[in-house]
Amino acid sequence: MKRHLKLILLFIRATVQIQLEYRSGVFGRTLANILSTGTSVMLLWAMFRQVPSIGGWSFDQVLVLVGIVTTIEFVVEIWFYPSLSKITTYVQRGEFDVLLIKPVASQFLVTFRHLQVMELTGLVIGLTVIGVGMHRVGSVTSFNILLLAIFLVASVVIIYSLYLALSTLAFWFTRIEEVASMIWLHSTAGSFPVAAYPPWARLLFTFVLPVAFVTNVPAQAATGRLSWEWGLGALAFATFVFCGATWLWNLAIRNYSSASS
Amino acid sequence: MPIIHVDHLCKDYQVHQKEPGLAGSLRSFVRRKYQIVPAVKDVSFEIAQGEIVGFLGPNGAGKTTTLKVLSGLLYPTSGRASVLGFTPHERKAEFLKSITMVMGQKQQLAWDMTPGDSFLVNQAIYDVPDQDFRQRVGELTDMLELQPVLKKPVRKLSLGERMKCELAGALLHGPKILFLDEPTIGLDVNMQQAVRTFVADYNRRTGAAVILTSHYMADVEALAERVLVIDGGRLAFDGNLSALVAERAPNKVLKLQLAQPVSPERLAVFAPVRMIEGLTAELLAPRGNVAEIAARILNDVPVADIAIEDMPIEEVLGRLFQRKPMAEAAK
Repeated sequence: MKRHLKLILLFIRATVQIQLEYRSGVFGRTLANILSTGTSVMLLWAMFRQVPSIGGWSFDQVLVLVGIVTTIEFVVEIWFYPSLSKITTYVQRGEFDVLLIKPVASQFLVTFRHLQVMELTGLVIGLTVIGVGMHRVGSVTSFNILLLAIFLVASVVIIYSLYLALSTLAFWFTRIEEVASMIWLHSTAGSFPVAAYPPWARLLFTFVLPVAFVTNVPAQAATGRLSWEWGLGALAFATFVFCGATWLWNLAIRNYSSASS
Repeated sequence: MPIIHVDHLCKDYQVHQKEPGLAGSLRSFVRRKYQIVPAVKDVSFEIAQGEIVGFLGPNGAGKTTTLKVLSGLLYPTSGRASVLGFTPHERKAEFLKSITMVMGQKQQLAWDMTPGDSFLVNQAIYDVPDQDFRQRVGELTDMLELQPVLKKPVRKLSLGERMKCELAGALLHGPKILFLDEPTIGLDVNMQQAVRTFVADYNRRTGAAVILTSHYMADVEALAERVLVIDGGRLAFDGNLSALVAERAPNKVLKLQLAQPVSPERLAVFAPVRMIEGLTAELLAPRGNVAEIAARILNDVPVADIAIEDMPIEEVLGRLFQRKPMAEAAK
């Protein structure tokens, strides 16, 4: 455990060193991030001038939702995209041997090797929007914050697992970048209350593209409206997809070792 | 004491066959056709602690496949490999910590880090205690003269500098077995020499076994006393390098520097002429009476200089590999 923590710190240190060489980019990106989140909020505000609620959610509640989508988007950008998108490169270049020969689980190495921590400002923006939303709803209690933390972790686990599983398909299909970019769908579909969609779409957004679990559940938790069925459902789903993705990964590695040249 | 046992090892690859053209691609997308290609066929050998063994063979002979089975990257199709008492493909952490692999064609150091930082990552990955780590980095830095490059990002290093850093990075955990797959590929002659000297030194100092494949005969000649010749997936020879030359090259090469032009016919009387060009000529003389032939030539032909040499190993091997299919066909 201690060794793994040390490795993560070393990996972060290394990526920070590289990114510091391109410092000006960081300011530009922060500005772009603020503008893009600001635009989403403005759009929402314009819509809510016409209707009092969407799918039973008020403007302030949807604001929390937008904050959560932004936060998760940046977790993907800081962590999963830089790390997991390399899997296809490793496979295409046949560089996987280099990882497999190390006495550390290959899944750990591909998960943590590249962390773009310089994008951290995006995370701050997301959490700020959540905070403002929760304050306006009047749901800032330590219990809600704890729930929010728990379900944000569950969301991150779900997104990680899906991304890992999609990238793992590279072992069989080699070119997979296009498919893996599906992972960004949650930010388009997820910035909206799932309850606002017709029933068939709700099913789709719960189990196929699990935006309900990834974005709606943490937002409900933060605003004190989470039912225990949905809460348990999200935790169960997170456990299920994580185990599934890990299983698929191990299968791919076994397959790779018996087939590659 | 043997630390590597390989027993009737076979490895087949399933190769996915794609028909040409778009229609073919679609067909093979729906229903994939596989062909089984045997890469290693029934190979057995043992390697002892402290040995340096060279794997020789033409491209695609199965050298790298054997190396990958031994290092645990590939599952054997049948047969058994045991390395340091472990079954390699189980890839137990304990096993992986006691071996290392350097692949000339694949880079292990992170492109974007300095070698020094990569070494720290390896220290954490292999769980090397601080004291051992500092001592080994010190030793390797001296032996490989790495001081000036440790703080430069890997992407700014020359190929040779990078290979030296790769070697250092691969040895920080004090492995008992080194698998070197084409470690000198693409390096200039001086750098090849430096890598060879280092590997020999390292083997002497630590007693680690070294198993290497190389296209450069000079690598194998300089390092390995024992060679395993793998051809068409089979073990064609296992033994001393000089024994290989004696066995497979019954002729020695007589190199003549002529004092004045001589016709090939006149030389052919003594022994088959391998080549003649201006005032230099080479004859192939049987090992047994090479001295006698040389003496007769010196008597009868205007020779300025004469030298008796072994056949270059490349050529010996070239013949070995060429002869193989014929021998197969004869069966």
